[in-house]
Amino acid sequence: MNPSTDAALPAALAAPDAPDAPDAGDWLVDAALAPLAGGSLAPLYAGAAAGELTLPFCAACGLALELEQRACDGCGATDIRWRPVERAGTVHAVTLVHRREPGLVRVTEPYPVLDVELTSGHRLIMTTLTATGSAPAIGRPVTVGFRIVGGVAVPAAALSTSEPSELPDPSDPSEPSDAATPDSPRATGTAPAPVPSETEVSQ
Amino acid sequence: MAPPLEPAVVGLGLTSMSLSAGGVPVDLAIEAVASALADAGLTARDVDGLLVNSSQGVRPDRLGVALARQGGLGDLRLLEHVEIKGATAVAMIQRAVLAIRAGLASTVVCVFADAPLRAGGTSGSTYAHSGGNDGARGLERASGVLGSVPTYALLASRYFAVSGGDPEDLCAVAVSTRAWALGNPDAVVRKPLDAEGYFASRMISTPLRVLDCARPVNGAVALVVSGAATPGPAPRIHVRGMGQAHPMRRRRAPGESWFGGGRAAVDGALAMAGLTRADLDVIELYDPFSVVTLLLLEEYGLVEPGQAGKVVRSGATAPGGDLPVNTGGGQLSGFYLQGMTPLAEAVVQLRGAGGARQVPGASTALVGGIGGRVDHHACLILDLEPSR
Ligand SMILES: [Zn+2]
Repeated sequence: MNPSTDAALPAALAAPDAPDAPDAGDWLVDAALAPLAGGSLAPLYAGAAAGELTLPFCAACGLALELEQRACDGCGATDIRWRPVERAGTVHAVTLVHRREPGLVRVTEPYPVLDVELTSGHRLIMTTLTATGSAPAIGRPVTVGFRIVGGVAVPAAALSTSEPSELPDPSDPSEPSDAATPDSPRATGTAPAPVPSETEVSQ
Repeated sequence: MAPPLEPAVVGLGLTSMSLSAGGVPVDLAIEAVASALADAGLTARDVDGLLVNSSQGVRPDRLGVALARQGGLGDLRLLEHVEIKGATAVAMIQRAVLAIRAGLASTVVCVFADAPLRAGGTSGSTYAHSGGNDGARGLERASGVLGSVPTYALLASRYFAVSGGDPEDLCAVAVSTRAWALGNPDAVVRKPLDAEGYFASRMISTPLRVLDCARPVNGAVALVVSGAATPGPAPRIHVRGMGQAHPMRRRRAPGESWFGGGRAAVDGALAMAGLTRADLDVIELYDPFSVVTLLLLEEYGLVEPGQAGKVVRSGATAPGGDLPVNTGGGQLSGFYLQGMTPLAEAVVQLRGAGGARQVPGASTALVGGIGGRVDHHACLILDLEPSR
């Protein structure tokens, strides 16, 4: 998009500290909403920059932990290990946001926000990789790619097209986990599911 | 060491509730405190305790313990800035009662003030721009979760999936609450509302419409809790029961992340009071969003699980119903001053001062305050009768 001036810096794409690298911008939000890549979720953003979904676990007992948890509620250990997880899950909750804050939200139509229950057990809030005017139903499987917001990669849901798109029973209180069952095409053990075609990197 | 009288709410003061920019929290707080003291027949000289509740987030003008000095109070024996997010106001009353019982103070003022409405921007805009870019909140904001509505919209979608509820239930809450607001001169929205009007209102984040969301105001509320005899004409409102619950629900499978675990606060308060749910004449709940009323009615055991929508649709929670809920219009149609909204209304009802919205013979109230994403619960059983 911006081929002119900085041709001398082809390595900028790989440089994690590339300042204000020109990009086309995220589909949803302004770069002002870029998260603090070096802050308390630094391992998540470092993993995301490499195309991996990296989340915290208790190093002692393996329990999936919350993003800001500093001690395990299962065993009390304070040693936390961030590691890549399978980039697959199901929709746990969903909303279509109609209010679009001027200056921060770039779209002109409502946009989805999902709470995704990952096969790792974590729940993570994200929007979709690309604009969509409809909210996927609770229970629907998704894979996880990354948006780039102000140069920082953040997880985003790719709505699987190989699955039937229609709504499962919304009153089923159980935790749907189709994506982890053996007959799912994405159930591939611990290796992150490669979905490069759904990973938008806009540089 | 015991106070001469059982600690009770003896003073209530409200500023006017403004829907336009103006006022700073400290000035609003001073006005509400003066009003509450006058209501109790007291002066600043009678006060030996001050508890302060400010809006969350770090704002340069947020209320703090400096209010004691700025507000012209004298020497104090108790001064704290209490912080349990939205549950704070209710927790302050608990704190005041315990301090008085322990002899650490005699007359304690509890105050909350906020002024989210600024010139040149809506409150929604103020909230959308706050939250920062670090931690889980920073990640959520980068994902389009601005302000608190999308989060509660996610909660609502999940609640529907679990309870079987639907938007008609939200509509019933909004309509019931509005019906109460019509009788409350302090309510900021007093235009009759029916289902047609509800469904015509602007969608904010599915399934939550603008009429499912609290109405922020610039204003303040103060209460005076005292163990001393006071000259004010209003009856003493006794704190017969209190409880808190802070369920550590996790953001991981299995189990729900956003609800469950609050009931213990109410069970504990009722046990302390020696009362049952059948003894409750009015229910005053923290209702930042309509879905929260449904959720708390079930969570607090006031209706059967999964029945909140049905109960509200039946009219039971509306004026004339047998389960009066948020009788001043709540935060949805009354005014959003966090935990002070249900607290103030409970005091008004038990005093019999509710005018057109008065629940006849109301003598026992449940006040339920929540904070965070329904992570913190603090409740009170208020009663005209003392415990002892
Ligand atoms: Zn552990």
